[in-house]
Amino acid sequence: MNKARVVVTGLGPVTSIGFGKRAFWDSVIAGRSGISPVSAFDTSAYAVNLGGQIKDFDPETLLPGQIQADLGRTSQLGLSAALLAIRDSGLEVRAFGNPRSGIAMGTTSGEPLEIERLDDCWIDGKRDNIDPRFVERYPSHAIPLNIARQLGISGPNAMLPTACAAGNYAIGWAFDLIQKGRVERMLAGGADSFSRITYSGFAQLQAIATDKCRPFDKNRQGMVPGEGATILVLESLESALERNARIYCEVIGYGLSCDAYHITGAHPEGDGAHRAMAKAIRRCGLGLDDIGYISAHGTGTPGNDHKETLAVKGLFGDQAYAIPISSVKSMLGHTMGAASAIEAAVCSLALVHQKAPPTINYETQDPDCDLDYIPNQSRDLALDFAMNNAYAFGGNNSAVIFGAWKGERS
Amino acid sequence: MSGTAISGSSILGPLGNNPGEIFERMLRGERALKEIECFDTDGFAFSQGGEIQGFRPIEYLGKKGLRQLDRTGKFAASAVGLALDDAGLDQVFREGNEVSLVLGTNFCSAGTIANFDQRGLEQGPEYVSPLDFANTVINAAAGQVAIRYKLRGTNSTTAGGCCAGLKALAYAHELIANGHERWVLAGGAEELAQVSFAAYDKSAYMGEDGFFLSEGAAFALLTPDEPDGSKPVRGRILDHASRAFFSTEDSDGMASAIETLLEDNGLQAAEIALVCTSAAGYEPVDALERQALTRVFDAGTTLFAPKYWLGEGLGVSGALQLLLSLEALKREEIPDKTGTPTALSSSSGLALLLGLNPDGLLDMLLVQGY
Repeated sequence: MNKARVVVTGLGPVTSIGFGKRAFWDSVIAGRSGISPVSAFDTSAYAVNLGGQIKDFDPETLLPGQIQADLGRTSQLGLSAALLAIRDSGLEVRAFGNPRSGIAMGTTSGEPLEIERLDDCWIDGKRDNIDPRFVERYPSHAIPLNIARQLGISGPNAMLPTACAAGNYAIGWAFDLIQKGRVERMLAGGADSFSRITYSGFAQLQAIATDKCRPFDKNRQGMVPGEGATILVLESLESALERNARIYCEVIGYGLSCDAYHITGAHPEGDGAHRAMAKAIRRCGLGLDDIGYISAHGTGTPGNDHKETLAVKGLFGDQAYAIPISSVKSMLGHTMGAASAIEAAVCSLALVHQKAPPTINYETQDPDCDLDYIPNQSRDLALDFAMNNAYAFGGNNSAVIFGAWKGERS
Repeated sequence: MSGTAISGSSILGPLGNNPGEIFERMLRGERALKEIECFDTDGFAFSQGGEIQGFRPIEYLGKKGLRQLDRTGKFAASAVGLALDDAGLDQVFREGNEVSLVLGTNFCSAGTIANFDQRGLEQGPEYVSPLDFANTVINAAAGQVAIRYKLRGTNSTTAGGCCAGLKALAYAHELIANGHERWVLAGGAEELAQVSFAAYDKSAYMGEDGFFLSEGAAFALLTPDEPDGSKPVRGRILDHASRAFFSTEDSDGMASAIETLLEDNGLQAAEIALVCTSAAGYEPVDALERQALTRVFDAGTTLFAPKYWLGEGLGVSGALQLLLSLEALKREEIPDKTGTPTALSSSSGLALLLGLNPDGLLDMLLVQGY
């Protein structure tokens, strides 16, 4: 059976540094930071207070009359991203209203505010106040289902809650469905909203930075929890060409693996990350020297950044030093299940503009992280293929490869 | 017909741990519904569920590493261990090959998540448990199981209420069919937790005829089908489909989705020996399913509703449907609610599995048994 080629035709980022493709890309290239003191809840009992919170997210202003006010926050972020992506693609919403269109999303925590509200009732001894709609509102699959319901998408509907690599998993699933001809187009991405559960956990692990998120920097202290959503419109090349769509890039393929080592910490030699990248490159029929840019997972924690560096070096050898790598988590913080979807948008735009964003807050080289992390200034590149790496609790590893669109390619 | 082969399996459930045993108990009229003991139900309108009572993880997992696992994790780890043994994938094999895991779940560890958050609220964020935090992510069970058994292939989690397990099986099928992986354990796990039970207690689902929540874990090992199409060990997954519905009155749409799946596989409705329904005792959704099935299948088609006996296991339901359907295909009969074995309507060896979540998700799996 001939496999369909899969292209990206729409981008919908909803982030702390901009809503929509243009504002987001301008900010990313300028190296703007969306990290600020947390206002979503009282952090006075914590030793840290920084977060990548989206403080100016007002769905009614962003997309008047299109976002149901009583949806959970993650669903609102996701739906906003979906509408922005569809608008960007030039398609009408009704183009998705058939079984040949679907949605695949990833998340880490789903709708955490729902269980936090339940816990508030529980602690206050007011179980009678538990929302009877909890069983529909809280489960993570409510997010793509809410989007599908609002947009009339009746085709395949998937939630892959694989934590901080979830966006890549959703993109991979959507890619497989389109490639096999099961669907013509998919909305694929990830979303997560700011949550005291997540913040408390990372704070207790002492994993949150106190001043800045500095991926790969010698003085990096940790990550900064954030929130956001991004959805990509993926469609078959045939469908895109038929409607003369603007094509950002092609999804060439992906690789997945598991460290099977530790529930929160990466393999000490980056074994799983190495295997995921190797699988992706092999399945894409590429060589190591084809990869011109890596969007790193790059959380800013001392351990993870080092292990990611080891994985890249382990796979690419000396060639690793010639591959520009950057982490936009330096600007956004760690947006959890949205991160790799946001970073997929970065790869797509990098391929179009032949330019990669920087890793900001980079001041001092770490001898253990000595690759080219595009410090502080964006950079023009001659770029054919970009790789999007994402890793997660549970030891999940993912790598998705995007290719520059240059018209028909054999 | 080709597909992915099912060459190992396991069940950890309230009516027993293997399909044959479960069938016999169904025929004796046993249901999993019993008074819940694993948490306090004082103040709840309902107090019964399909609890795995007397579950002793040490019997399945030994002493080592139990502390890292919460209830859902223990279920998943126990069931995966049984499946690996059943499939003969020992430690040496797993160290030399990438075995994958796809786990379907609705809540994963709602109990752990709530305990973690409530402790922070009561005592302050500096007193939350780092060990519990690791288990607050929805893919925690899948990750913990991978660590325990060195499952280094793809590790994924699928969500979707009672469809989650069927989605896991579909995902695993695609991983193999697309050449990503060769050995994939797929199924699901779910726990009865006080917080989620409390929410269901207040919902419209409880109190309907027969609906009760359940818990457990079940997995099947999927591998590529034999190149020459020779008979697999237990059965095959042939195809799958997923839809979303936005009305409990769209039985036509559901029927159309079923017909499309059959047509795509060159099948007539009469060739389906068994339809394993999603019916769990919540009438608005059960009625939708019945109406759709009436449109597609004639009155003689065998309909099997295992949730009548087992309850609604959410993430574990899909794999239970698969393994019990394969058992039914092997026996060429199902139990009915009176305990009478009923012959299947056809000897085609083909079954259609349905997951219909009350919020509108529909997932379908087409399988072939002996």
